[in-house]
Amino acid sequence: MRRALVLLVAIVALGAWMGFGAEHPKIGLVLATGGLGDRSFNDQGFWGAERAAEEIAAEYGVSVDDVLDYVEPRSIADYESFYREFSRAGEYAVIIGIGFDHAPILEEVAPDYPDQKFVVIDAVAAVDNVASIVFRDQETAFLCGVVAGMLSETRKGGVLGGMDIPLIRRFVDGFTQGMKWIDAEAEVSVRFVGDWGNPTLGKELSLELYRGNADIIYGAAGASHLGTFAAAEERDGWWAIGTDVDQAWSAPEHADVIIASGLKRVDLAVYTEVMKVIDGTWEAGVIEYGMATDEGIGTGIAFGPWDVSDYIEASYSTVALPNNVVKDILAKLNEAVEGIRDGTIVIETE
Amino acid sequence: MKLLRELGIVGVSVALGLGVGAIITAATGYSVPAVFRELVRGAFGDIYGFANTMTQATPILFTSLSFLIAFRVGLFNIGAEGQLLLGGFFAAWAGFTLNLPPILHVVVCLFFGAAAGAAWGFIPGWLRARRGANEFVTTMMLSYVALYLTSWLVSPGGPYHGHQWANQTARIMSSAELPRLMASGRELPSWGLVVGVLVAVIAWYFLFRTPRGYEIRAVGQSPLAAEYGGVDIARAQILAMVLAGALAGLGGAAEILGTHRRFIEGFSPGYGWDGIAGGLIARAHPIGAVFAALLMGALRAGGRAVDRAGVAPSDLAWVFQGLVILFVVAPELIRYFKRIRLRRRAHGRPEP
Repeated sequence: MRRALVLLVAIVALGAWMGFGAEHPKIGLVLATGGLGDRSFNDQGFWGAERAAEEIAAEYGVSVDDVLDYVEPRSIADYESFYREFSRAGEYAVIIGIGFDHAPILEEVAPDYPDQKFVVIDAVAAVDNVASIVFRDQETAFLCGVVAGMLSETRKGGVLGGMDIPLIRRFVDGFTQGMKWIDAEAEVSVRFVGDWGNPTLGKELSLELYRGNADIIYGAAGASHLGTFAAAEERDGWWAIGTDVDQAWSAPEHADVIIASGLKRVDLAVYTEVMKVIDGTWEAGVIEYGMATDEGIGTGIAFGPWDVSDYIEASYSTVALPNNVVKDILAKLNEAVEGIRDGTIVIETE
Repeated sequence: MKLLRELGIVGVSVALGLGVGAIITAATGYSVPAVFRELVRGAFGDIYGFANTMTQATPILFTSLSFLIAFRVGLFNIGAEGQLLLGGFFAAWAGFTLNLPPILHVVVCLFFGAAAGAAWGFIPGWLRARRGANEFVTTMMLSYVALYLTSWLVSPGGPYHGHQWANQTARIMSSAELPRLMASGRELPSWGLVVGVLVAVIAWYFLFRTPRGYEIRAVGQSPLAAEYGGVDIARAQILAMVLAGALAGLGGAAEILGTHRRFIEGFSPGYGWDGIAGGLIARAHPIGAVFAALLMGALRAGGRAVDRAGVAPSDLAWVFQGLVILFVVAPELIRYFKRIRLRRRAHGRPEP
C-alpha cells in the first residue's frame, strides 16, 4: 500500500513538473455538442484553429498538438466545466467556443476570468472579455438568391426556414432581394418548420413549396431542410440550395439536386480571431464578418466547379449545367459580390 | 475487519480494471504513462482536480443512495436516470417560476425535485407490489418516458424552451441557487455535495435505526420471514421505491440548482446508471455510497482530463471507466442474481 502511495505522489509530482515551461501561445477550443466529423460548424471551427495553430507551431518550433487543445463536450451541461478548466489553466492566449449555445455559459464564466480572452462564434455574449462573432447571413442569402434568379424557370423560389425568428428572416430577406436583383418579377414563398431537427416535416413543407410552382428552394432550417433535398429528388427540375457549408459535400447523397450552398466561413473567422490575438490587435465586442464589414470576409457561396475568390468557392454539386450557364451565373455572382463590397447593393433587413 | 476485506477487494478490482485499461491503451498505440498521469492529475492532482472529482461525485452519490435503498428491499431500481431528470426539471421550474426568499426558495425547489422523483418511483413500486410487474422493465421504461418528456418540454416546440435555440429552460432565480463551495462561490462543487452527505447519513439512520428501515431490510433479506413477522411486504416495497425515486429526484434538483442553474436537455451524462455501480460498490451501505461515489467521480474527472489534455481520445477514458466498474461490480452482481433467482423461485414469482 505504502509503495503505491509513494508511486502516486511521484506521478502527481511528475505531472505538475511537466505542466511548466510552456512559452508559446496556446489555443483552447470548445466545440459544440455534435463533435468533430459533423461536416459543419465543428469541423470548420477546428480547421480554422488548426490552421492558426500550424502557423504558431512553425514559428515557435513546436508541434500543432502543443499549441491547440480542444474538447468535444457531450452535452451543453459540460460547457461550463470545460471553460473553467481552460480558463483556470491560465496558459491559453485565447479560448474559442463554437456555436450559439455557448453564449449563456460564457456570460456566466467569462466575468470570473477578466484577463482571459474568449471568442464565441455565431452568438453574442455581452461580456467585456469576449469577442462575439456574427455573420452577415443576408449577404450569403443574397448570393443564393442570385443563383436562384438565374436558374428558376418558373420565376419562383422558396425558402424553408427553421423558425420565424429575426435570424431566419435575414436569410429570407437576403434571398428574396438577390432573386429580385436578377428578375424583378420573381416571387419567393416561405415556410417555417418550427423545428431544427425534423426532416420529415421539412420534406412535407418543401413539397408544398415545389408543388406551389417554386422550382428552387433555399434551406435555412438546420437538419430539417435535409427534407428539402429529399423532396427535390422526387422530380426532375426541382433544385435545392444548402446552408453554412457546401452541402453537396456534407450530404453527398443529394449532390445531384444541391445546386449551390450559402457559406458561413467559421474557419476563416476562427483563424482570423486567433491571429488577431497573436498580433495584439484583438478586441472584445460584437464583431461582424461578411463582405461589407471591416473584416471583409466570412460570407460567400459554393457554386460551380472553380474556386473564384474568397467568396465564391467550388462546389461538390453534381448537377450538370451547361458551361456557358455556369459562367453567366459566376459573372453575376462576381458582380453581386462587388456591389455588396462597394456598397452599391444594400441589403435591407428588418 | 470485514470493512478492510471489502476495501481490499475493491482495491484489487480497481487495479485489475486499470491494468486491462492500460493494456488496451498500449495496444491502441497511446502512451500509457501519459494517460495515467492525466487520469490522476484530473481526479486528484490539485485542489481543482479534486473539486472536479467531488463535482462529478455529487449526483452519483444521490443515485447510488437511490439504487441501494431499493436494493435493500430486494428491488432493482434502474430508473434513477429518469427520476433524476424529472427531479431536475421540476426543481428548475420551481426555481424560475416561484418567487420566494433565498433559503426557503432552495428548500422548496429541492422539495419539488424530490417529490417529482418520488412520484416516478411510486409507479413502478406500486406496480411491483400490487400487480407483480417486473421493476426492471417498468423503471427502465419510465426512465425513457422521463427523458423524452423533459426533452420535449424544453425543445423549440415545448412550453419551457427558454433560449432561442439551445434546448434548455430559462435560468433559475438567484434566490434558488445552491451556492458553490470554492473560490468565493464561483467554482464547483456546490452545496449539493453537503446536502448529499447529509442525506447519506439520514439514509443510514433510517435504514439501520428506525422500524420502517428495519422492515425494508427484513423484506430484502427474507420476504417470507418478514411476512411471518408481520411486515407488510407490499408497503415496504412501495415505500422503498418512493424513497429511491425521491433520492434520485433530489440529486437532479441539487445538480440543477448548484451546477447548471437551468434545466438543460439531457444534462445527465448517465449519473443514474453510475448510481447502480455506485450502490453495488458500496455494498448497499449509505456511508459506503459516499466513497463509492467519490471513486466514480474520480473516474469521470480523470477521464475528462485525459480528453482535454489530448493524450488519448475521450472514448479511451470511458473504456477505463467501464472496465473499472465492470471489475468492481461484477462479483457483487453475480452474487445478487444468484440470490434473487433462488428467492423468486421460492416465491413462484417471475424471474427478471
